Amino acid sequence: MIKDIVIKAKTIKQELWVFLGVFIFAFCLNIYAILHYKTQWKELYTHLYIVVLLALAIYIVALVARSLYCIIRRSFSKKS
Amino acid sequence: MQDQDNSRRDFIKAAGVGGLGLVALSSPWLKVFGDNKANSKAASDKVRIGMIGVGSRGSYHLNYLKQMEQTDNIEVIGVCDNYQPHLNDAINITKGTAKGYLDYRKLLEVKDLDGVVIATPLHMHAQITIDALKAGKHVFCEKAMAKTIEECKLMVDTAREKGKILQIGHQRLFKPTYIKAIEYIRSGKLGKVTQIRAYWHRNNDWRRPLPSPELERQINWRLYREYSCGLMTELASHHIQVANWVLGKTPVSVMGTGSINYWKDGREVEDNIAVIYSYADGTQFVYDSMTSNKFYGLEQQILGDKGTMELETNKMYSENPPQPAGILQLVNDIEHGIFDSITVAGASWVPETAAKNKGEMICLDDKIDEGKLQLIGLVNAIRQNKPVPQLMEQGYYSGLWTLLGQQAIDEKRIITLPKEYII
Ligand SMILES: NC(=O)c1ccc[n+]([C@@H]2O[C@H](COP(=O)([O-])OP(=O)(O)OC[C@H]3O[C@@H](n4cnc5c(N)ncnc54)[C@H](O)[C@@H]3O)[C@@H](O)[C@H]2O)c1
Repeated sequence: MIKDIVIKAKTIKQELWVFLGVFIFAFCLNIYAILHYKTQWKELYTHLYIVVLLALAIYIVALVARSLYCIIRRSFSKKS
Repeated sequence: MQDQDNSRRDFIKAAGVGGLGLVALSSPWLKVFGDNKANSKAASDKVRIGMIGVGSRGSYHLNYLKQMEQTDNIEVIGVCDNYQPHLNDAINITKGTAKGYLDYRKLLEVKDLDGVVIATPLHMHAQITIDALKAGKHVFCEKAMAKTIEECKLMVDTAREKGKILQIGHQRLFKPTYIKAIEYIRSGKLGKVTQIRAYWHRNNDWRRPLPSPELERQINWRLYREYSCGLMTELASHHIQVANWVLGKTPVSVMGTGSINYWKDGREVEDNIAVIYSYADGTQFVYDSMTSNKFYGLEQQILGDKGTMELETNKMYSENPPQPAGILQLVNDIEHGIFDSITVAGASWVPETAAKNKGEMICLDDKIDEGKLQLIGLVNAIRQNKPVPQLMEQGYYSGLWTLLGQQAIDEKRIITLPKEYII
């Protein structure tokens, strides 16, 4: 029998906070890049889509890493 | 006349100019599309044209002229060729509406003929042009202008004396990409232009199939010095004309070399040539042509300290292309930092190979056919009954310097222009 997966409101909220953190990080990277490469400030909005894509990419990588960490931790706690 | 106006408008749009005023200085012959006031002929009067030499290029013109009968109120009243099969083909193109002539002098006797389009082999350009001008006809003659510099000068003198139009078939003068490019160059977009390079490379023997062997010299006239100067007059003349146009001046000297080193088949003209033209300010035009490798095809490159143009392919490259957005550069650098192999010691020498930026198009709408436009220009000029500014001069100096380039190759020395040929 297929089990229903229940995602709690608390989890969703927590993930949204994580994504927001990642997005702010990517946004700061854009500011750093503009300063470092001496490009134009309008890239803050003209290249916002790149920031969103970058944030998504970082979030997905972080999600995979966090999931792996949970799985490993759970399997260790079961054994002990 | 609605269609004629349309073609003029399409052309101005394609050349990317808001009005002819912007290009009037660099391409003054385009005024012929702006001034519609007829002097000798009202727009409702037919312009009557004759074709002399209806081989490959002649039939190309004839097809356009036939189309223009519907749109530009002209009529092809006669076609002439001294080779019967070509004459028959031409009469067929006109569906029998034009009268055929084996002798061009008979065609020139036709009273209400306004102008002729000449597309014969090079050695006949001068004689036919001068006879036509003397008969009171306007002339469009294919490039190169003539086979000797004396003939070129005589053609100009006769046209001026008779007050008739003499247009040489350098179609790039009417090509929107070129017009736009010259406008950009004059506005400083490429910075200081100090060199122009051009090449025309083919990998074939340049021969046409012969119906019978005794027609060799008649059909393959390009390969024999009695009729042509080969690669210089048949190909290089186009790029020499553009170089002069780009720089707005003519060279002061030319040196060159050439040989027959591949097609040793009895031809008398070189199968490879290289020439360097120098202008008064030290600018060079470096040109070469060959017939045993076609990898690079043809191109004309304008090299300035701020950018480069490749006219044949409608491309323009900046020396300092706009850099990508900062975030993209950062991602790219991180990627390279992670994935590129780490060199133990940094490279002390980096090969200065060609830049690889994609560049941009010079002219966004270049579909309009310059071959037809130059004929529309001719018809307009005939209606206006006055020489088109600078058009004959473009053909003259291109023809002249083409022949001086050939002389440099033949005589293996630097050639300058004799003063009496300055017009
Ligand atoms: N502007 C261009 O891009 C371009 C392209 C091709 C050719 N051309 C020029 O056009 C001219 C013709 O070239 P082509 O390839 O059509 O050559 P072609 O040999 O195909 O045609 C020349 C025609 O002229 C005819 N002819 C020769 N002597 C004549 C005379 N005395 N009276 C009447 N007809 C005569 C020949 O029989 C032939 O039919 C050349 O000057 C060539 O340089 C220009």
